[in-house]
Amino acid sequence: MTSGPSDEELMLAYGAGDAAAFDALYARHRGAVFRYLRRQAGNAAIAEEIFQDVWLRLIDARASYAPRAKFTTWLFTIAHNRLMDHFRANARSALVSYDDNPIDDVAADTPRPDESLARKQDAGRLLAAIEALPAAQREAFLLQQEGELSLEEIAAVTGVNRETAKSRLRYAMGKLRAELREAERT
Amino acid sequence: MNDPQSRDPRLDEAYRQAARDEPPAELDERIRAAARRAVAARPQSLAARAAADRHLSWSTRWRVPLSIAATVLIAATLTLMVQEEERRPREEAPAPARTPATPADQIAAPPAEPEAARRDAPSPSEATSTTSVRQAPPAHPAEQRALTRPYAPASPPSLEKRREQAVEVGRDASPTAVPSVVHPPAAAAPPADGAASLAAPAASEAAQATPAPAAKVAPTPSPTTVEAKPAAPARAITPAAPTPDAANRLSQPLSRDRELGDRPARAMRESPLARSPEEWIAEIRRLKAQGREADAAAELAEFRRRYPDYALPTDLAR
Repeated sequence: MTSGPSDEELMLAYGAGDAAAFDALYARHRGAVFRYLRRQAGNAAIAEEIFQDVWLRLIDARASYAPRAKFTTWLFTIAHNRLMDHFRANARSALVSYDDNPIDDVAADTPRPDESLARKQDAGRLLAAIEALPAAQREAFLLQQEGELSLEEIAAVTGVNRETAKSRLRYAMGKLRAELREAERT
Repeated sequence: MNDPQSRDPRLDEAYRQAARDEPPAELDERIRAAARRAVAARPQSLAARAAADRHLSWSTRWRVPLSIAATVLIAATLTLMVQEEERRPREEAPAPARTPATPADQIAAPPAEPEAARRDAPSPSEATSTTSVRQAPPAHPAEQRALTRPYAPASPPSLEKRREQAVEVGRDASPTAVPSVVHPPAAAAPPADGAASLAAPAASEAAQATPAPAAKVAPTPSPTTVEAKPAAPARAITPAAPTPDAANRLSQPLSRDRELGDRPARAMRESPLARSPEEWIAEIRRLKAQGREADAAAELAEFRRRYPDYALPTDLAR
């Protein structure tokens, strides 16, 4: 949690014309949004492009903003939607993992985390394991870690029900725990 | 916040240690600059919006007053048009049925006039004029005098004299005033409406009072006297008492007739329009029946001159 004005208050202040409020808000969430996009897009340049677009959309929406939900939920919803737009336009195959296929099947199409970790022996093994997760599971994990979102909020951002979000998150965490145990063993 | 059951502290810590990437500084600067520009540009957009609001507010400000003004204008116009339309028929309607009746006709025409009196009506125009005459303009003063003459006598004349006066009045009246002589007398007429009730007392007063003020009665002749019918002149005259002035005027033709040897035909010739053609023909027949062939022939010639298109009865056509 952060001290001082809440995210919603800062956003309202920025909507009222306070540029400093935006700076504070941006400083709080720039890393989380960027990492979410960076892990999901898989490409730094694309992540930066989408990242800029997300914040520009937030700037445009400042006047109509109303704190109907938590600010981070709103912010990551923008990021999720923008990411989906990008996938639809440029990488349809990336959307496959967002379908409602059985998670195990989707996971079977992707490289096994342990295979990826075998190639990377440094501290970045965890990041490699995250990258190896199916997109839906990875997104659920990233939203939990970067956005500090609850299951309900993850479900709201990704447009699924709570049980689906919970299942995705459980699968992702199980795989990552296994990689952590494997890394500690080695 | 997060579901405690879905969190793994070891995993969270490992992720925080591994994931430390940040957006480039130049990207941060671009975004912050865009945010500041948006806020800095807002006053300008506010000014533009205020101008737009002023433009909109003009129409908004004047919409209601203009609507009300237009509504009032239309309503007033429609009201005036309706009033004009209502006024026009009243002015135009009496025109075709207009008869040279006096204003007293308008007041006098008793709606509850006895049916028998109506049957005595000499011409159909009179029947139609009963209602339509109400707004007719005043008749010629001479006609008014003729109409009011028998109803303001100075003293009640004898029955014989009154009959003579009745005949004289019938002859002296113009054809346009003929119907007015036929009406029932003021004293006999039931005051059917307010106007008649107002006028009837005046007539009865004139009939009962000695030297009745003729000037008072004459300008506003008794309403019941106005539509008198020539077919019953005696009945029309009986209750009314002529004023001295009127009596003098009535006595003049009588004395003239006496000078002429009691020749009513002469008097009738002087005012031929006072009789209807049927009355005139009846008079001619009466002359013939009395053996006054010369007078009858003169009357018939006069009749032919006045009514050239009238189909004479077979007994007179020869």
